[in-house]
Amino acid sequence: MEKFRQRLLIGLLAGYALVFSIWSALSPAGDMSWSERRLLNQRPVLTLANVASGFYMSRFEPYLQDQFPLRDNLRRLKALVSSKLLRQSDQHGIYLYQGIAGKLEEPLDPAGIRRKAALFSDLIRTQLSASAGRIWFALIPDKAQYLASDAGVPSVSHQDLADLLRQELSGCTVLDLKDQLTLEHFYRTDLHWRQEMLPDLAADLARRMGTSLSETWQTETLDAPFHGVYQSQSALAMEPDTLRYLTNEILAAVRVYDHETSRWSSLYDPAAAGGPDPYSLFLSGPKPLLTLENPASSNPRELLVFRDSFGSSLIPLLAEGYARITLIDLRYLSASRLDQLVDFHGQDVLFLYSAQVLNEGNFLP
Amino acid sequence: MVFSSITFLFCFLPAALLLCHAVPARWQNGALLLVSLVFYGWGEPRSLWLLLLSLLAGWWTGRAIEDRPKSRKRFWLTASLVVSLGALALFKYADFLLATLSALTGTAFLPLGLKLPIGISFYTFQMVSYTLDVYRGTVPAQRRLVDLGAYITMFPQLIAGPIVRYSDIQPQLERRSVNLADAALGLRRFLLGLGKKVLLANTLGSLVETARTTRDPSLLFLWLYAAAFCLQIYYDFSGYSDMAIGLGKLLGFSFMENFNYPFTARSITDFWRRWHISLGTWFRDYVYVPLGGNRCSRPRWIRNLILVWGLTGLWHGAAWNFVLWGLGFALVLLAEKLWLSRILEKIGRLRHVYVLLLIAVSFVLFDSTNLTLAWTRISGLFGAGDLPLVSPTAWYQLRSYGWLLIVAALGSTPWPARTCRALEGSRAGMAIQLTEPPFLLGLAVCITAFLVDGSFNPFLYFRF
Repeated sequence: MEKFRQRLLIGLLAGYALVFSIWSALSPAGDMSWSERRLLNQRPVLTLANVASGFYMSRFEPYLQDQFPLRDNLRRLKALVSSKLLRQSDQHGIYLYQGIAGKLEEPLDPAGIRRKAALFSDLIRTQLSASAGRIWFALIPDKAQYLASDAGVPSVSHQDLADLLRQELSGCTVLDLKDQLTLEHFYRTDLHWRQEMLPDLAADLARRMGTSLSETWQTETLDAPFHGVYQSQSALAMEPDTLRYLTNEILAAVRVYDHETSRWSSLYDPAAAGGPDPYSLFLSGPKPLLTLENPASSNPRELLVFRDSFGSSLIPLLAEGYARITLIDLRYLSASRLDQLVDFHGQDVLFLYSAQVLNEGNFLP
Repeated sequence: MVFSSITFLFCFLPAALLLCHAVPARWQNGALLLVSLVFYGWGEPRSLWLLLLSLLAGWWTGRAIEDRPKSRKRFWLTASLVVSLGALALFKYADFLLATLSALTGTAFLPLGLKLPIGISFYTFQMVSYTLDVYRGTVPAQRRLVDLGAYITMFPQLIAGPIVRYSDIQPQLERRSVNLADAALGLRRFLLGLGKKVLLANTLGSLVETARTTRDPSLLFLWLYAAAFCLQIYYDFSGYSDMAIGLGKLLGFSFMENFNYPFTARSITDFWRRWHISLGTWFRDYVYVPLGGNRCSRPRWIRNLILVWGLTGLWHGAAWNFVLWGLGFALVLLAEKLWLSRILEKIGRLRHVYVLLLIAVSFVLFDSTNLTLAWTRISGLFGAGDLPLVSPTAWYQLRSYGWLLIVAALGSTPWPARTCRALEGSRAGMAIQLTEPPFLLGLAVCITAFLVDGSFNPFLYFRF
């Protein structure tokens, strides 16, 4: 009996190690992890110099981790063991409450917010003086504001953040969007808001900025399930979201110019929704500088938007109210280079930022 | 290369075990030396030369000590110690010494900036113990470089111990075999150690890291941090020792136990009989006893104790927090030996509170990168610094990690092992025995999942 047990133990463990060793060695390397929405590490190049310097070995472990057989299943197993067996409330900072994923917020970083506010105030003073009186700052609360207290998770005081911003920003009107949003406005598996829930907010924002929208939209739904970034990061088992976008005749005619690639495209890019980041459906994903041209606009006004990724889904709804909208993402474009790339001539200006980016992001020179 | 890596588990280990068992008995030490050098060179290619130099010097001087007349033996021993400890001093302590001199004299001495070779403290101590044993005549000098190389570089204990004595494994270097029971025992021990490291220590390490960097400090968070770090370092270190002992078994070696439920100690003296046993006994046999131990005048005994514990602290890292950590233990041990032990006898179970409190404080000092931070943390533990009692983040982390802390605390006691032993022979015991192989397979899969996910996997021994 004891011998049988010993043989079984050795057989199972040795078999497991050998099967996965051989499987790992023989499996062709993949390029992309769709579940994590990132490129996978590839085998480092074997050269004498790489070995002698230790570079080859330092890159070998990440390569093996990324290319390991059944990687996605193992990541799901890890999340399951962590949450069920070790009873951890979050995976890589992502928690789940009633099927909705949220992210643990970092405590308020007043110094970081002051630095960003100083950057914006400096921009307003030096580059945007011609727009005085028509500059707004819209603050998007983090999804956690509508989820954390019910989930029993600590969260930042959004009020403190908004107050700090009002105190530190000069030359613009701060609009706090917290009361216009609910948990329903956000994807369950992602940090972003759902565009199909934003018409009222967009109309209200347009009204405050002195323009108007027709508010007639058609909703288009994409077939593919949307696994948001929180699901990707945590590997937690979740029902996927559905990606929808709003359009009408005017929006269909809007053309988008990407200054980085010098190419024209449309507001929506359904092909990008099949890529690693499905949220790239909106304005083709993260871009440093875009210009939206609305040929059907009877309104000659123009709008400058300083934004993060939340702007990608909201700004298309505002396109109707302006002849031209320029979108600037300071995370990918240094503020010091703006005057070489953008013509500031008294456009309306909207700073549209999420609390998460303001409190935790880093886009300072 | 570390044990808790995909590279080690699925590339190196199967190949190394197959090679070591496939070759004829007379080539086994050569095979072991070869795979051990690959193991070390994989992570430290630039430090391989130092390991080989240390090995060559030890081999040469060991033979010289044995072969030379009595009057010359001391010279060769000194030469051996100068080479071994000189390399350790140069690579590990030179910058610390220069920084201290700079602070004391006001003259800026430029640091050498030498990279600390992983495992240098371990293999240096093994080499020192070998040459001292040869000098004392307790072991014969190893004539074959390959055999001594297999002992010094043996991959299971090369970078994180336990510190194995040559005298303990000399017979196994000559002849060894692995039977079915040894292999099963070795695999089981290795896997349990790996589980301790990957599932418990690394997860607790995430809490420690969160607490270290929090922008929402509180008294509760500081105590959470202290408790989590104590458990993390225990599971990390004892996990590595378990893995080393298990791997040793798979290769036909028996290594000494390195941990014996240290958190159940009844005094700090008892704690140090249970924590990193191989280091404690090394200092006892090669430093404390030769200095006279406690069989001398009281002032000399106090000097011996302070010296040994100062060195123990210094062995752990080239920084003042480690030195103070060691000296702090010296003071406590002195107090216990002089008068405190009588009080501890009287207070019964409260002794454990005293021990755990001191251990927690000592490890906070151990973990602090500078003395200012150490003071802030330690005084904060006792209410200084105007910290709130509880912060939302601390409360959340307590709920998130509470279960794990309880499991880890229970796991650090003999209770689980005693329970299993008590069940032996019963139906439940039979069930446990029968389900052990599939349970261990499940554990292996879980460990793989944690490693593949690229979870937090720090290496706590980089300073040793």
